[in-house]
Amino acid sequence: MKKEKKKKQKTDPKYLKELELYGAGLSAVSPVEQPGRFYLCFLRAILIFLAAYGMLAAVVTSFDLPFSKLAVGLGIFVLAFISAFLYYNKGTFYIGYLAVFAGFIFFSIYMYLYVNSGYQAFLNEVYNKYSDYFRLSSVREAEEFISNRYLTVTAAMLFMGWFFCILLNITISGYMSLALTFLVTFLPLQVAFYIDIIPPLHYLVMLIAVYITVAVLGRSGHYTLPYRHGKEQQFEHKRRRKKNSFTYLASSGGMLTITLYSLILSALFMLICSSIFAKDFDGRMVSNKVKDRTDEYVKTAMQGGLASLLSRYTSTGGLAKGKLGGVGTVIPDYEPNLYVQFATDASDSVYLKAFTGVYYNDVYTRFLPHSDPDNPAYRMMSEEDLKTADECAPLLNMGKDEYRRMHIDNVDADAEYDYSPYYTYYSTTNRENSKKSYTEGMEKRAREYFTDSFGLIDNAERFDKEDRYILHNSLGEPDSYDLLYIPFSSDAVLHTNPSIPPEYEDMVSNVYLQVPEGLYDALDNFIAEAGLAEVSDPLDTAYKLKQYFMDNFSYTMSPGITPWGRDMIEYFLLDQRRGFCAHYAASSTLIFRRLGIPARYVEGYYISPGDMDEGEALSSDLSSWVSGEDATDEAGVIEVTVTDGSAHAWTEIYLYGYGWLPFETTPPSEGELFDSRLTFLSRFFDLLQQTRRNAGDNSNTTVSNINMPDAKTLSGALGNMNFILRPVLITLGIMILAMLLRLPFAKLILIIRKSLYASRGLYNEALLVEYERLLRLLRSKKLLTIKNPLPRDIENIIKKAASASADTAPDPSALSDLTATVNYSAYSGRELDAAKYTSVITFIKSIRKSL
Amino acid sequence: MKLRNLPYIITYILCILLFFLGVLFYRQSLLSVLIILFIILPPLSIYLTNIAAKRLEITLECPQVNVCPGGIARYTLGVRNPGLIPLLNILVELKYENLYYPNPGVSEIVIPAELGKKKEFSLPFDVTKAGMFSVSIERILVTDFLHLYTRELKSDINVMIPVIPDEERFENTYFPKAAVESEDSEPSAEGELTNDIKQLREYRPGDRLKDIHWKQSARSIDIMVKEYETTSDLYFLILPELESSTLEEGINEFNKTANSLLFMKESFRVAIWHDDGNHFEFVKVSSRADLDIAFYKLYLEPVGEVSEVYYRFSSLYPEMYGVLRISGGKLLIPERSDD
Repeated sequence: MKKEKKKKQKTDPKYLKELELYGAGLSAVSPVEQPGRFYLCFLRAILIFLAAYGMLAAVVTSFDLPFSKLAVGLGIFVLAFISAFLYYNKGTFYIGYLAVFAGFIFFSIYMYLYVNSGYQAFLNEVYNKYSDYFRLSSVREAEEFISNRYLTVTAAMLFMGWFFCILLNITISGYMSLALTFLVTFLPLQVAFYIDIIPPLHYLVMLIAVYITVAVLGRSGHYTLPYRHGKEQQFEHKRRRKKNSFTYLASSGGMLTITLYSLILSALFMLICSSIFAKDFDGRMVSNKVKDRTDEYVKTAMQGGLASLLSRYTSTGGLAKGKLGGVGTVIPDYEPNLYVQFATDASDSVYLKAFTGVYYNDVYTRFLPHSDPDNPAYRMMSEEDLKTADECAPLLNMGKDEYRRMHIDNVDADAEYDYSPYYTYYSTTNRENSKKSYTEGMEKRAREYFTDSFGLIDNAERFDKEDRYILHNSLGEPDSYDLLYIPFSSDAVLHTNPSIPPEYEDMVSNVYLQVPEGLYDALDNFIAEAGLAEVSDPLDTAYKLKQYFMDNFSYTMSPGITPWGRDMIEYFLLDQRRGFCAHYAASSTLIFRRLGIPARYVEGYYISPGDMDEGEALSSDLSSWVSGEDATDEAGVIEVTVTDGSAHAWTEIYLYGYGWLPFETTPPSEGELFDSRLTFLSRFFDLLQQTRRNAGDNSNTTVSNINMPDAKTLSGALGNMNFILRPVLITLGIMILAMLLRLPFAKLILIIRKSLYASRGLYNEALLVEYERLLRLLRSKKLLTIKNPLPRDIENIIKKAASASADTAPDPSALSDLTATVNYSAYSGRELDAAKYTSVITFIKSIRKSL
Repeated sequence: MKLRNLPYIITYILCILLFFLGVLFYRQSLLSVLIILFIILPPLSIYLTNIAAKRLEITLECPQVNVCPGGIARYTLGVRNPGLIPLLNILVELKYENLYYPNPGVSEIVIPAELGKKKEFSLPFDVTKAGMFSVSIERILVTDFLHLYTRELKSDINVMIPVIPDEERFENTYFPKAAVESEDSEPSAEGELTNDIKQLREYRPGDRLKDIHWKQSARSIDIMVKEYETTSDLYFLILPELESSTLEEGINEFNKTANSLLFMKESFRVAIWHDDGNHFEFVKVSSRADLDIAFYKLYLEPVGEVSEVYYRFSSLYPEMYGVLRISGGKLLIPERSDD
């Protein structure tokens, strides 16, 4: 190999040209003594062990999990050793890696139950700690097949240790890259640090020592184990323009020294910085956009697993417009979408309907709206069908004639839609008729029968908010409008609607029973499983379905995405069995259809009683908001901020003779008594509000003992940096002090050495130490500039220096005697006698004084 | 600080900023500790490097006396770090060239200075042309552990060895002996060929008239004759007149001439013109080692397009004769001889 390389170098045209032109060239550089390859691999093994064991033990210990330190330490050391020696030569590299991977797979399969249980034990502890830390209402719990955690965690650590040894071997032995090594070890460590758990410091000492060593060695370039080169080749040769560069590949002595020094430095450093770790860090009290967003992701991952972070498209709530299955997690940003002003008694919820999905396209797993030309049902519905679609609802009998006005400002909701409650019959919006939520017929009849109610708009009381930016609709006008509606309450009695034409019901039967053939089996299996086929009444069926969902399914905002190639509804019903409103509404729609009950998928916003409680009170005068019978129990006029967190999906079922009826099948979340969504979201929201409140108000007495960061302004942020500035200043102070004390300390060491030698009768050594002090003095006075001076040179220098001041000039003969004595002490091999030593020392002292 | 440190400094500052942002947003203890480490390391690294660099010892040696064209000049670069702090980033900038063919390029050797005993690195230079091969250490750059600071150490180390052609000679060539006299030939002016008187002796038939020491003869009964120092050895004189266009041929011709004379067990002298001193040095050669010295001195003199050596020689020694001139890459053997 060496010959080949040399031959290659010598036949290099550039090199030959250099020889031809200049008559000389440097073909290679080599060390006189070859560094031991075993030694180099061994040092790498130490680094890999320190990094892998330090990181794993730190993380596992942080979560109070038991494991055998001996077994894990020994195991990881052996694995680190094996990994590092893969780079011994080409043979070990190629064959060794195969063997290591084979062993890894064998271990994984053979110890599967132990490793898996240990991993699940770790996850469960992580879930528990995070749940406590973030006050999460629900977290996952993994099943541990083997309950002996001492065994399972040890096995899992060995498994992970193996994995990390391979990774770290690449980052350290292969590249000596600090960035990669840091990423591999720092990210797992964050599992503990993110919730303010501080691992034992000695594990951190190991890690930081590795970081320092890898940084220093990586930058020096003398870390490469030349397994890729010939055994003899110890330098890497590069030609840059007219420069030839030879870099020494591996410095074994340097690696060893740097590793040892890094360990010492790291230990000292951690001792100095231990006060920082001891400080009461509370990440929960930290609030800024970055931290809050990270917290959201962390919480999402805790609740829905890592897969929940992998959404195909993002969703912050709001309308999905029939798109289903691509969102792993809904992460609402709680920004206002609508401002809704209306009169309320704060007892009933309000559904603001927007999107109606008709045809389910199982290829794109989405519902297409009425107006979508791609919707096959679109061709089956006449203009008249579309216009009458929304007026075909059961008639209400609430025991009183009451009409209300609602005012909506659209600030961030989809401007395509007219958001309106059920039984809306008039709106001031300028949308074209097909985009309105009611029909011309409804308005016509209302103007005939509810004439008085229109006075609410004519004499409307306005609460204009000038600081609010309102979206513009498709006509380019501000999307702010009033509408009139009949309030719908849970105690309303429903009546048949005789005005529904039979042709409409025929159309409903044709259009709203559509189910893709590919879903027949899945739906039939589910229907059989839930026992829905045994019920004949549509409403009973609906309630039974709702109950079944409540009993067997769970609500979560982080269900994870539907796998590619699978239908969202099939996957939800048969495998996933957890999800948010869109999952339940979409599945219910198709289940109803499969059972012969016409149904459609609806999206909009849901205003809960809780939202109304938090609404802003505008007025107690209801005269321009409520018409008809006096509503004595009304609380007043409020404005509710509807955020994307209030976006919702539900189902409408068609009851022949009655019309379309909204129906909720989404179950509450686990542990909640009623509206899971509301409770869950409000708690979630509360948590954020809490952190923001704390962050914004430093005077808050409950958190006064903690540095409250306010990252909104730089000065505010820096003002709270005392916790880091203090240790930085202390550390820098110690360093400066050390530098200042270095010279006196070195002097002190020399004096001690001299005294020790003299006390033992080693006068030669004692004299040479004193003589070294004299040299240092000469150097400090810039009198001595040459390296390795001989005693004769020193004599001349002293003579020269002394000639300037004749009074204190030393005796020339004594000076010669000093030179002779120093030579005697250094080279004769015979010991100096005490009397001579004393006289020479006295003379040296007199020289030092004269200088 | 050097320009080469700049990328590292920028990267380092960016890392600090990144960690600072991390601390600012997350207030995490580990990040805080790491940022302190970031702050501490640079001054520590620079300080330790400065201390160690002061005590660093770099040597350059070549055990060979000479090397032949096509051979390898084996130099040894030595590094000794007597302190307690290792240095990992030492860049030794070497300039190597044949003085006849100046090389504008340099070679960098990046080596560590480990603690303990001197570490040596072998530098095998391929040399292909005759001339003076010189290796000098131009600069020594010591960079700190983090590559944020570089200290330059001065160096005047320069080690030269002559590249001398292989031992070749002429076959059956006649070489005349030379005589060189200055007009004011004072006796025993050291270095001048014919004025080194070894002794006076009685006249013997065949002695030249000009060798009779008239003053001494007047005082004694016999006619005394000046016998010169190794008269027979000094008789051959080679005058190399090297020119850049026929440099290699000239050196080879000189080499062959000299070796031929040595082969005949003849001593000779080589007249070397020293441009700076404006004089000729007559290097006495009676062995191969002497010839190496002659080559060494010859190679140190610059070579121009046209050689003025003969012109200067004839000016100084107008009555010289029998000089073996190496001119235009050829050996010019004089027709006239005085023996």
